[in-house]
Amino acid sequence: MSGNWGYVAAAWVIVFGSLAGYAARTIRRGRSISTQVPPERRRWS
Amino acid sequence: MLRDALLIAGKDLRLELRSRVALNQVLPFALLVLVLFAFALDPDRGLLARATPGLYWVAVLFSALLALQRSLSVESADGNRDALRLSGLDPAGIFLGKVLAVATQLAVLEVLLGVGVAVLYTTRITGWVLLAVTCVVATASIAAAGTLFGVVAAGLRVRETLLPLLLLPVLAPVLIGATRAFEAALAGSPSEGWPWVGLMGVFASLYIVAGVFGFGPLLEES
Amino acid sequence: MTTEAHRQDIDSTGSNGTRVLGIAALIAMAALALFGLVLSPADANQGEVVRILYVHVPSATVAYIGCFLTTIGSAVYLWRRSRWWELVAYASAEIATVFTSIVLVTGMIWGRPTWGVYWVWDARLTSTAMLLLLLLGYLAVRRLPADHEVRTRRAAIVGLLLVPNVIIVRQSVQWWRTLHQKPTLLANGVGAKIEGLMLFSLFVGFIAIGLVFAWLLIHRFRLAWLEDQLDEAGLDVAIAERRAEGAAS
Repeated sequence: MSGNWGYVAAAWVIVFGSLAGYAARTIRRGRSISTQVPPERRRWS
Repeated sequence: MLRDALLIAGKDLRLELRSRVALNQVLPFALLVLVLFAFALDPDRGLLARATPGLYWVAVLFSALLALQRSLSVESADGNRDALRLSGLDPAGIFLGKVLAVATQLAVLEVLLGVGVAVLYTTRITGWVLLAVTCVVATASIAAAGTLFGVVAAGLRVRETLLPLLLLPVLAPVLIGATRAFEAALAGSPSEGWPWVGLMGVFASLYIVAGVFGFGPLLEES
Repeated sequence: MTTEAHRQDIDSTGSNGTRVLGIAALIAMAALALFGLVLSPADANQGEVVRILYVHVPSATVAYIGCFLTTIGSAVYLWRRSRWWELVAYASAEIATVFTSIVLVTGMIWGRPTWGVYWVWDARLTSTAMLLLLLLGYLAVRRLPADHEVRTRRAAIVGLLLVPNVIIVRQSVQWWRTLHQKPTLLANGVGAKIEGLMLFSLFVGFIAIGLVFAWLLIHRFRLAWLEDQLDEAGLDVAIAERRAEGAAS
């Protein structure tokens, strides 16, 4: 049974890793692109 | 609407009769695919005979891609798209006309390809009714979905690569259905094939309806 | 210091609401890890591998939700010319793609110890793979290097047909497989009854993944909105920026 922990770890690392990576990418792109848009055109914040 | 459809279909078919692109290039390509399959799957081991329905429809799909590219490049050249829009023809009619023209070409192609399969793969053909109905429904599905997604991809630099990406996953049910129906017909048990014909019928209706309503917005942009 | 913080506030897709949501999502993910990996017991049949399902099943659910949002957004855009819904469709399609990939990969990892192979031509697996391809097609159209109007209009047609396509593909694949074999492979897997802490872990999984989905959707939507604004303002601004960067370095 101990061998199967490898599969569990792989799956969880992939899920957490890809979600974190995608979130980071979205935020980074949001930061870089929002400097180019005047603040009054952003309806949040 | 139907008059417009016939007008457009007549125009496309006349164009084809004069230029013979489908006849001189798409049909040889389809036959070439049949020969390539024979190279890839050793004909002596019975693999080819068992896979014949699937190979036939894959060949039809690939040839349909070429025929569709042709049918749409005819419209994108020389601002024909604008001319179509200005012509005052009903967009739904234009769509149905293009579908009709593509379907006619595909039907001819399928018959010739069927002869090719019968001769090259020595297939014994049985279950004529199911085969014919399957061909009609599958052809309508391919032509309708192909024309709709073809216009989505039309006029862009990436259209040659975009159309297969859009169209082939969508046509997966048609490939599965047509292949199973053919298998059933060739195996002499046509009753197993009819549910597939029904599924493809639903598919074809969905795409014809989507095209009739979606073609207007697609044409009026840009 | 306050001005610094304020500036940070403006130049991002975050807001107070999303910050709270983000913290909640992080806590929920931590709780999911705790319950899914530590507290819940191993399954009698599947052993430890069952823990993969705590992230796999909720991911599949939000992937489907994302697809529905794409189709709904595309429909409303075509019907009412609503830019807002078009952006919802685009944002949720991208997130659905991420989650569909996660579902496929975790499903394959789960399948290896359970079935002995990474891939079987099971109806569910096959239709999920087709779903990923359909989503990639939508994104390809939405990101075309073409006029804004052309891109959104054409992508909306593709997005509108997304859910009907998925339904037909699923149906055909299901018939296709059941003609040859009964789908027994999943019967001793997901379908098996689960209870107690395992059920609760799955529940935590739904909440955590759901919160992450909501957070991603809001941020991705705002990013798409900014891109839209930039598109509208024309490329001049972006070009000026690039020039300034080039001059500075």
